[in-house]
Amino acid sequence: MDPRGGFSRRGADPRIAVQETGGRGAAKASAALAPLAHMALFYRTASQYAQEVGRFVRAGLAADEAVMVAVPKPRALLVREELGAYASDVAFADIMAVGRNPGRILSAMYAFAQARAGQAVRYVGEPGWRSRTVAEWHEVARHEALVNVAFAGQPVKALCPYDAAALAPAILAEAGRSHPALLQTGRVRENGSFAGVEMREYDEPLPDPPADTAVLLYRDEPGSARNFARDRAKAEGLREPRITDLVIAVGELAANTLRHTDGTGSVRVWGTGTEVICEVRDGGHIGDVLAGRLWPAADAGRGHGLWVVQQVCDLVEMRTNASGTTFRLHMRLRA
Amino acid sequence: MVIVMAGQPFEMRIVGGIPVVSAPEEIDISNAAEFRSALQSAAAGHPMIVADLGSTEYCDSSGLNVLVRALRRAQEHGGELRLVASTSAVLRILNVTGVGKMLKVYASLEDALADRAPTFVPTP
Repeated sequence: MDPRGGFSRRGADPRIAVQETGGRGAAKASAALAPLAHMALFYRTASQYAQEVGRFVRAGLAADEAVMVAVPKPRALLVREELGAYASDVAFADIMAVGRNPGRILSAMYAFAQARAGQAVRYVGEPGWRSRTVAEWHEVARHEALVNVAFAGQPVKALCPYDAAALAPAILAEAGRSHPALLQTGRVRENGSFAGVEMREYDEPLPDPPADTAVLLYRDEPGSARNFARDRAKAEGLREPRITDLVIAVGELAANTLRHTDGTGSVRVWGTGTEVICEVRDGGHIGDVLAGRLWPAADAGRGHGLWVVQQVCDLVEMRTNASGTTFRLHMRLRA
Repeated sequence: MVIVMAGQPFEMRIVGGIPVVSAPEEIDISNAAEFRSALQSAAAGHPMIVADLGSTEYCDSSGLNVLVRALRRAQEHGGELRLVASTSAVLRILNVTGVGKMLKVYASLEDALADRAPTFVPTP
């Protein structure tokens, strides 16, 4: 770790997940993650939001930390008003753009920290909003659990606001399980509901694709998978530049099948009226929970492909286990 | 103009003393190794080379990886690698990965050879 106490590029190996039994040992888990502070803020009113987030941000600025606020635009306005002149010292991002696909939130956080190596980092990240779908919330939940893995041992404070007045109880409960701490009236307290750092049940199988969906099997020709995806997506109404994005994503996944597995992969595409969904499935198992989540060094030998997939799709659903890996790439038909 | 290694998926020519490696329509895992060989051959004895992806409709991250390694090798030897890229998929992946900001990118081979109107010039 950087002797000056700032974020270090290498830092703790993020792949070493702290083993914890679920439910108990919240304090022990937090100590193992230190100095990372990952807190949920369950808010009910705009003034509560402005006060709590404003206080959190100002504390970071006073401590000379790099501060990023990635929240929906209406919330950003509240925070800007609360901060006044101090708002110009904060990096704002629209989470509904940056985090449209929850799978890329972590890389945005990581990139922000890496660019300021040597400085402690503080985030406000509101990863979800009322109109998020169930499929999106599943990946939000995975993302939140991965924050604990990715930033273990790093001087990072991450505050995650959740709208307790608008979001479903199941979503709030899941948020409760993935945050070691809670922020309430300016105080940080241990979260007794924290289920531990170990990655949990995010890879249960997805429901089947619609019956009679055409399927292509591929092995040595990633081009065949790309062409099939392009033609089927066009038929379902997808237009440029999103067709290019889908082809890019399918190409990376098909190349991974060839590179990392001994068998074939399959591609299916179907439409829902509001989006086109492309499923790419193979027999491999992605063992690295952070694969595709952190910005890879440009000359790293591996790991680009999944990162690119996360960047160009509106939602990437992933299920990976010993039986194989399924990706469902969602591309909206309208922005 | 001298034609060298004609007929390979990656054609190499010398134009005005500058090696130009022309990439095919698609660069992916199936031909990334040939891409690497072609760039290595072109760079031998030549401080500056041009990778012409003007006709390339698709390039995946393994192709980009080859490009970045060739760029690093060129820089280590005080040389330069210029890139021609104009199709939407190639520009998109260059943009998304940030590789497009690592080197000079041109819209055409003529521009690249003349160092004229680069689409992007890397910040130091």
